[in-house]
Amino acid sequence: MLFNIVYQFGDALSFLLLSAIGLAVIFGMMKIINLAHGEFITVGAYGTVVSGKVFSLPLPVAMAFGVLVTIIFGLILEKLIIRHLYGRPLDSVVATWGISLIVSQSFLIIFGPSYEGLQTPMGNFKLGDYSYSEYRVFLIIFSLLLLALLYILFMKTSFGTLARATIEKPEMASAMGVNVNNVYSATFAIGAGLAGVTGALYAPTMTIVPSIGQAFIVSAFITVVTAGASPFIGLVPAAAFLSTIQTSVTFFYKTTIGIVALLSSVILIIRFLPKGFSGLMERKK
Amino acid sequence: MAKILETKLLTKKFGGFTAVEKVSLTVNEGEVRFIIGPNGAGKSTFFKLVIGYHTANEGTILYKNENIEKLKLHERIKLGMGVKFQAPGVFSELTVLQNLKLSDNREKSFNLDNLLSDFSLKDEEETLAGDLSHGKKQWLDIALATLSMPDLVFLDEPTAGLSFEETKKTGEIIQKLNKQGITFIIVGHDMDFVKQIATRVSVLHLGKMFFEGSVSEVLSDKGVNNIYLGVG
Amino acid sequence: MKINIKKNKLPILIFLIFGIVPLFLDSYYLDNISYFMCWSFISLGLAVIWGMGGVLSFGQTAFFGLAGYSFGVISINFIGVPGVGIWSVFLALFITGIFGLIVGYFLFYGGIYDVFVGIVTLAITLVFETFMQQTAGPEYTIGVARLNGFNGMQGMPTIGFQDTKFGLVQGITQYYFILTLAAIILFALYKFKNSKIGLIFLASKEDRDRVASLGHNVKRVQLIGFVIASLLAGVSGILYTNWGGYITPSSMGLVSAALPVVWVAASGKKDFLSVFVGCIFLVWLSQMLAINGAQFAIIAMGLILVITTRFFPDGLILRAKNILINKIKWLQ
Repeated sequence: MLFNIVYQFGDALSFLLLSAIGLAVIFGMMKIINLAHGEFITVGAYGTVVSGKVFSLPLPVAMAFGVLVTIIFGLILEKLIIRHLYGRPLDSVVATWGISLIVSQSFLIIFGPSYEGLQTPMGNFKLGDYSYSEYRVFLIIFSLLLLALLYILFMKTSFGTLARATIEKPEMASAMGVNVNNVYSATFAIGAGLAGVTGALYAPTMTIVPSIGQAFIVSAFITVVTAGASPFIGLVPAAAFLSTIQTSVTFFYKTTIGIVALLSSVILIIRFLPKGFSGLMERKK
Repeated sequence: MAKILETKLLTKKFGGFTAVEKVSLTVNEGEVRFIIGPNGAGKSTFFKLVIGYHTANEGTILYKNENIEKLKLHERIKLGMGVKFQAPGVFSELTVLQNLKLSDNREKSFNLDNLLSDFSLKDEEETLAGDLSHGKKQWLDIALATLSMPDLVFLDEPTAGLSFEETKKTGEIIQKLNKQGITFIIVGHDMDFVKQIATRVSVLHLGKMFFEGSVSEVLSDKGVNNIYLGVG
Repeated sequence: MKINIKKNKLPILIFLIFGIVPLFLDSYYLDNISYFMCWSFISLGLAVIWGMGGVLSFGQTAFFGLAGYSFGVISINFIGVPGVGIWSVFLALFITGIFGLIVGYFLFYGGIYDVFVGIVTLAITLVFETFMQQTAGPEYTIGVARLNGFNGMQGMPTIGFQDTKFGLVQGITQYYFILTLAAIILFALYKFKNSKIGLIFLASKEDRDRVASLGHNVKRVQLIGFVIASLLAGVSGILYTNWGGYITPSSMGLVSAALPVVWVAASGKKDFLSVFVGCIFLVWLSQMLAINGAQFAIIAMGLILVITTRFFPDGLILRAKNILINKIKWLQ
């Protein structure tokens, strides 16, 4: 029974973490409100599934392909549109919403209302009365590893420091000879790629529909906002807090009330904990 | 001479950093008081504490002998204060006239036409404030602080970025307004400007009150010269 | 109240055109235009809070739904009571205004600004929608009015005096009523924009602290703007509910919340007349696209948004209006 609860909690946690991780870079770091985040995930999912089916690629290779496609997509978008919206947050809401409409509808037209999916890899194992998916356990571990990698990349490497400094003070960086556009593109591409990873990882577990990304976007924003000003520090505590609420409320009531509880938590966090969980963590230091 | 402003042991901390420490200061009506000090001395923070932009951790603030700590920023302003922050404070997307209309928050105000002439803005009523030259933006900012005939006006770096002639002209405008009954507290770096119009000078250093006296006393004090390390 | 005809040639002209349209179109088309006009009020409200005040709120749709449902619940419960078609409208608006006050207070007096207003208001809207979606069971009834979950509430009486010529049923009366209401509200909004409070509200978009340092209570003024926006959203909600005779939770979903933002952004959020005309045009356009090329309708909407923000950030309709005024001397 205990394992069951831990499993449910971990499952919810990894879902929130993976939903949020790409957005943490693009919204959390670059402060771009990307309403097309769900579509990045969709691109990653379709890239994986379509390449897997059409080229008969083994799953990990198909996933890599899916991520690559998402990165390219992100780079194109950044160059054409996003680059012109830095410093205009409200306009980026409108533009990225437009992008999400275009992409989701295009997928509907090109691939139809649903696409034949892939099998969930790995198998199941039994504990007590319940059967659990090994893949989902893998996802739990992988999501934490991925986040740790991201933390190291942005907090401990010279690229990470360069990226964070450039985003904070682009004129200063430019005056020191940094190609600001390239840094922005690279960071945005990382964010897009991470969303692609999410899509690729979840593709074998979900029905492949053009709106597949929509399942993640609300959770993504909720988690990133709750994480606060320093997304890489605050993401895990935020996801842990939110999955606790969601798991317990859904356990006692029903799923819809679980969603209501999550949304209400965000409202309260923004009001009473404006710096999010990363603010809390920083105070503890 | 009546006291218009008195602070007692005013203190402000940001986390572990004490920006203003136990500053006690009294300004009398009719003064043109300068607050000077090296960078980081806490001058702007002190000024923001008095107007209510920041809340003090300790100490009292008396305006016309009344305690004003519980009042919010806009409430203190309505009691008769005028403010010009260090950062540019004109509304670039509004015209000069619209900017001044915003400043009209009490029953009385200076004659608008006279004010516009004094600040050389007479022909620019319909110009967007964002299109003005830097000097005229500073003057408009000062005009915003003074239009509604306040009793006490705070100016933070009013001559930043102004030419020598513009600085001199600013000094003349302030002196004219001072003669019409406005007390000024000015944060400034430009010693020529201080010499031109100051009646008394307070020196802050590392958040604490360091020295206070007349212009000549301050300029000749060894301690003051040391903390500036020869600058300005 | 004086209207300066010389300075307002374009809006007067536009309303005159709308006014004589019924001479040329039959009731099917008129009802359609009435439908488009229903949406102009929520857009105008957004133009107030976002265009003037610089606060992007996704909550307009929540107030839309709240007003629609309130109108439905109240009027259904008092069917037959004299004047119910009138005072239920005012009561529903009152309730909406109170909620606008509460939410606005929570936001501005709670220090929530910029993008976080968008997130909180979107969350509030989604909470409302999620909750209403699952009210299908018979236990979800207020008085005799069933909320009915995702199917939506129906059966409310029409606005106005029932069974007389003054009921707001489909037809010419509804058309002129909504048109006149729009004209009055547009006039009132222009007055607001040029008033002292309007100026304070406008300046607060640029620099809240400076406005406060000039002696104004910024939070209170922003709250006023927010409540105005919520009431206008409520007007749309009630007119929409009356037009179709129903209100559903999907009118408060993610897509519905984004639509007013689309219309206002594409039209030109800083100009009320552009928003009024633009909203009608865009709702018509999406209807046209939905009928004639359903799949591409959404793509077209998306393209409009991207192109507008990228190349015409001031708004397509506003740009067109300015070109028109420049070219036609008589309008100046």
